[in-house]
Amino acid sequence: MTIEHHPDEALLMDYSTGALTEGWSLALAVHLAICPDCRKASSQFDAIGGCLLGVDVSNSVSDMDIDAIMARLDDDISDAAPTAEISPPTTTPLLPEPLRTYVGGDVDSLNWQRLGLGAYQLLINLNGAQETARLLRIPAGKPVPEHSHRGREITLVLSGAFEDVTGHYARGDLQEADESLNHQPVAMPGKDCICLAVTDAPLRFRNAAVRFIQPLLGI
Amino acid sequence: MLETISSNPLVNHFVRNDHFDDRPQNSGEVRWRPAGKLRGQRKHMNDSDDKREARERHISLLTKIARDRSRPAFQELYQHFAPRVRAFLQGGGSDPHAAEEIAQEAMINVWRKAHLFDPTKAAVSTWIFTIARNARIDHLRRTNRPEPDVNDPAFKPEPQALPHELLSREEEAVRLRTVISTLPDEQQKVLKLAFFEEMSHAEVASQLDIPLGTVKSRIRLALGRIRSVLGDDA
Repeated sequence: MTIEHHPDEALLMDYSTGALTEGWSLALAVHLAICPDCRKASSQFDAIGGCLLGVDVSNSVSDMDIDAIMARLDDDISDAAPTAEISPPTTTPLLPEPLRTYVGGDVDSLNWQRLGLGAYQLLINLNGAQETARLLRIPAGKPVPEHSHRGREITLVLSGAFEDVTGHYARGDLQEADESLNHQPVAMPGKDCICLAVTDAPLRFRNAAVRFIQPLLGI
Repeated sequence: MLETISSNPLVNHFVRNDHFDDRPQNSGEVRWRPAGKLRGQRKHMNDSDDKREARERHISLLTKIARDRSRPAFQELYQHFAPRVRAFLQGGGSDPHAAEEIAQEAMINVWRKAHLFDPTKAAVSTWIFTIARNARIDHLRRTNRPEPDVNDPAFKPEPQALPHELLSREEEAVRLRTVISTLPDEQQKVLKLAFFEEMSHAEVASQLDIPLGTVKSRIRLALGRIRSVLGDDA
């Protein structure tokens, strides 16, 4: 099972520089947790940051700075101990960290909210970010109504798979969509498709009936 | 931009490395001295050895902080890195007072998290960059940056390192600095806006008034060049 669809270099760089806000960062972090190749690229971007930070500078530290900082260290010694190891779950969870902590458990223990037509969602609480992050569960073999995007959308598959005009997406695959993509993802048969979806604007559905109930669904 | 200074790659390496200077006004300019002057070369190699020694020293300081909670070790590390962190944060012309505050916070975190530093994973400067970046995110947004957890059973570990990947992280950092200084101006500009000013690639595109695709291709070219020099074409 290899990951076919990766974030592009620009997105990896934005994660490394800190330019991504929480929801987008969450999608990247979860992809990186299960993609060693992208972790390597990400650490190369971090190393670029290290080089840009490491250059010689003319100004130096004054004695006053030193005294102030050394005084602050006293208070922090108690924080220095490594945090206690939490015993890991016995089976490998489906949702990698940091996602499990965000949603409060693995897939089986979640309070899914019904979207209708067999689909479920779980809104993820973000700390004041503009974007919306949610887990989506699309029933096996069923389509998500055809839609386009007003803004940007990142979808990361965690279980099952879906297909649309751009290809086949399975666990670990990440799709970045913008205004130009009008697609109708269909979950593959056999297994519900569970995705982490991050959007910065409501989706635009082609079907008027779906558009009508959209506010009720919160999507 | 990748013209050869000498037929000896090692000479190129040292000559370029010692001339890396990151002031934005002269970014991207490859400055070099004729490679035929033996004295000049020797001097550069000595400078470079000094820098290697300094890098080893930083690793041992961090180890002492982690193991012994050594305050003198922290003081020495602080004197080297605090001005650099501050300058980095101010690179985008941001408020000096905020830069100072974030730099202090970052250095306190270096003290607190020294036990998490792993020299096989990152160079000291890289590790301190990640601490400074996270301190900036925390300061600006009062939020953590979501990150993978290596202790999570769902975390997929890296495959066994290949022999050519065993280059030390500090050695990689030395090479990387050389590569960055020899990238075309337009690529360096994108990297600097992104890292110093924490601009997304979309913001860089609008700042430079160039198409998004152009920014993306500059990032891709820069990373490709970096990978080829670090011996990683994967």
